Amino acid sequence: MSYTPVELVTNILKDTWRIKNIGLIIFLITSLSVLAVSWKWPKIYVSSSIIEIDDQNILTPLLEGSAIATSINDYARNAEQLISSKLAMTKIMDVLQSETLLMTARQKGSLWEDIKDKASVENIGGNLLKISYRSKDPEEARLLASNLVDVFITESIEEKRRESEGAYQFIAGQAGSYHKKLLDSENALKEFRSDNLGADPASSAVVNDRILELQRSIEQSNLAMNEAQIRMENTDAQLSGEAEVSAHLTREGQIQERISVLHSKLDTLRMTYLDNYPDIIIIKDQIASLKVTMLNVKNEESVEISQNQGGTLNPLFQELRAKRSQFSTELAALKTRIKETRQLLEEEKSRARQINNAVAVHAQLTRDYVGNKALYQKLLKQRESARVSMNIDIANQGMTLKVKEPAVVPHRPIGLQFIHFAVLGIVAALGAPFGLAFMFGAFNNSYKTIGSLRELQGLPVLGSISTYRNPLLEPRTIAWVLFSVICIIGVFSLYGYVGWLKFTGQA
Amino acid sequence: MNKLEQAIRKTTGEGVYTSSFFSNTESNGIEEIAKMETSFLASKEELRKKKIIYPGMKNSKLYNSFRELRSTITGEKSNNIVMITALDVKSGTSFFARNLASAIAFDTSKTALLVDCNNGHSEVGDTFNVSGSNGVSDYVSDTKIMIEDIIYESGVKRLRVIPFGKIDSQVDEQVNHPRFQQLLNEIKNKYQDRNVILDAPPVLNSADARILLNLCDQVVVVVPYGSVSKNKIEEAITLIGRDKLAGVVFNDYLN
Repeated sequence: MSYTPVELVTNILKDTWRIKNIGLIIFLITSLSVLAVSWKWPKIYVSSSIIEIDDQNILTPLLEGSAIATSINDYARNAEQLISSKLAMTKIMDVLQSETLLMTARQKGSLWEDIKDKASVENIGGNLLKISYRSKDPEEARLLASNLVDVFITESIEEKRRESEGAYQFIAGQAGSYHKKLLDSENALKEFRSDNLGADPASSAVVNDRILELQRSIEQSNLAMNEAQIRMENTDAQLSGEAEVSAHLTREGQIQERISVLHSKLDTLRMTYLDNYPDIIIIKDQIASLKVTMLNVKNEESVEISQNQGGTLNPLFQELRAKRSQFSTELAALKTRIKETRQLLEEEKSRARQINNAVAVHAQLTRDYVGNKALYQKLLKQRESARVSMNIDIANQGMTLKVKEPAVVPHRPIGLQFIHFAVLGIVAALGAPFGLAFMFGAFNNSYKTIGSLRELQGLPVLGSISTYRNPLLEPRTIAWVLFSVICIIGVFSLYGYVGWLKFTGQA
Repeated sequence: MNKLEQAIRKTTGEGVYTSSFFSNTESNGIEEIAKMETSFLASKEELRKKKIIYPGMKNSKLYNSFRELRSTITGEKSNNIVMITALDVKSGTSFFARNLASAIAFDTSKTALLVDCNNGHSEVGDTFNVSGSNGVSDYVSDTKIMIEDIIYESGVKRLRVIPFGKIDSQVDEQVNHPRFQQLLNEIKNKYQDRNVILDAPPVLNSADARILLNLCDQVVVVVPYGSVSKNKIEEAITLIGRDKLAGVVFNDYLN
């Protein structure tokens, strides 16, 4: 079944008309019920006091960063806690002594719960705090609001003082503890330094240089020793090829032979080493030296040959033996030097290890000391800040709580007023019959227009008929309408009368 | 109409009425109808009071609606029995039946006879001031009563009425009686251009209505505003049968 909006409205009106008697009863019940509720509706009065919290006084800029200020939101939270504290309860109960004198502890507890429910704290922006109390009695509202404000102010200042003092005590305790730690680490450092004189990074560098120097010396001595060894071996080889006493041979020929041997040795070495190899250089030097000797001998020999007939001492042999003795001495000296240098190197290395350990321990002790010192200095600063905050609070200079707007006796109640009930009651009472008709129509799945009837498939619809006469002109209907109008006027008059009583304070 | 008026109607008018209504069946229908005497005519005020339509009434819309419905339902048919029923009580069946009968009677070539078969909710007697007179129930139960004894003038030309009668039977078996069927046959067939309108009880909850379904030629169902669901209509259509169902009429009334 589908209806146009106009049909829907018409149907609601028709349905309302059909249930007009029930509708009239609903109107009367609704309007009179709302009137009864408005009559009994309690008047709630709220008394509020606004407190200005000033913690930005003249000391603030002077003590910027030294004293810690509490934020306004903290005050609002504190205020809620304060006015619900046991202390507040005791004070308020004292104020209400006349009422609570004969009460048991349980009754007092119940009364206090009631008072807490009726009290409220609100941060109304900026540094303003609003403490309110609602009650059926305006005088009671003012009394409680005013006393709660007093409790809040007294307790806030006291609380802040206690808080600052506690903070100072705690920080001072911490500072003392760190002072002891600092002294301990200072002493440990001092003792270590006394026990490890010269064990510092500078000494470590000196020892390292010394180690390098010794290592270099050992290397050089090794080279020199190798060189001496080779020389001695060469001399030995030369000696093995020479007779202590030479036959009648020309020295030139002997030297020539010696040069040949050296050349052959040189060739052998060159197959393995480069020309700058020490043995090659030495052999080359020897060859050059023998060639010079051979030239001198050549000149002398021509004379000697004629004078010396028979064997003589071999001069080359003598010379080689002298050189060998020299090389042997040199080699022994080098070996001794190397051994001593190595011993020195071991000593230096041991010393270097000791120094490194000492440096590490020293660094650890220094770190402890520096850390403790920094913390201690910070705590000292904080202790001074806390001391200043505490002194400010003791002098009552940290925070000013000013009652900007004192609690007064409220004259007008809050919440729903009679006018709200009147509007609600009349609108609801007039609307209820239509609402009921609408509900009735919504759940009634029957035909309400000829159009909807025609939607039914296969049903011949012949036409429609209407009411014979306008029902509003029927005497019975006119009587009903008159009765209804009288009822409505009666209800309106009753509302007006109650409104007048409320307005004039008679109800 | 008071008792005295009724007595006068029975003594003076009945002779004329009876002779004109039940004699000479061979003659022409229109002439017969023209001869149909009416001892009295209801005034407009009376018709308004009885909620019967009349030409020139203020609510011309309603008047025209009935005229159209008359044409649709009866058309050119004659000697037709139209049963007016509904799905539930207080649907406006009696109002519709008497006005449909009146609308038919406005046609000068036709006559209408309104028969009240609505046991328990009979209105014809009260409406046409014949409530204490014999009617259908009396005719059925008393063989001495003749048909002409229960037919009354209505105050509307060419419209006669038969009330339900004095015997307010608790048993729904009046219409099942052979005499009732005999009554219907006679009033239907004896005269030309006669349309019989039966003011019947609701079809879904009355045994009388179901019997009447078999005796009538056409059925019109009155569907009042906001009282009938689709299921009920479908149930009624099934019960009546497509052949006899002339259709439904929507009663957009406001009481």
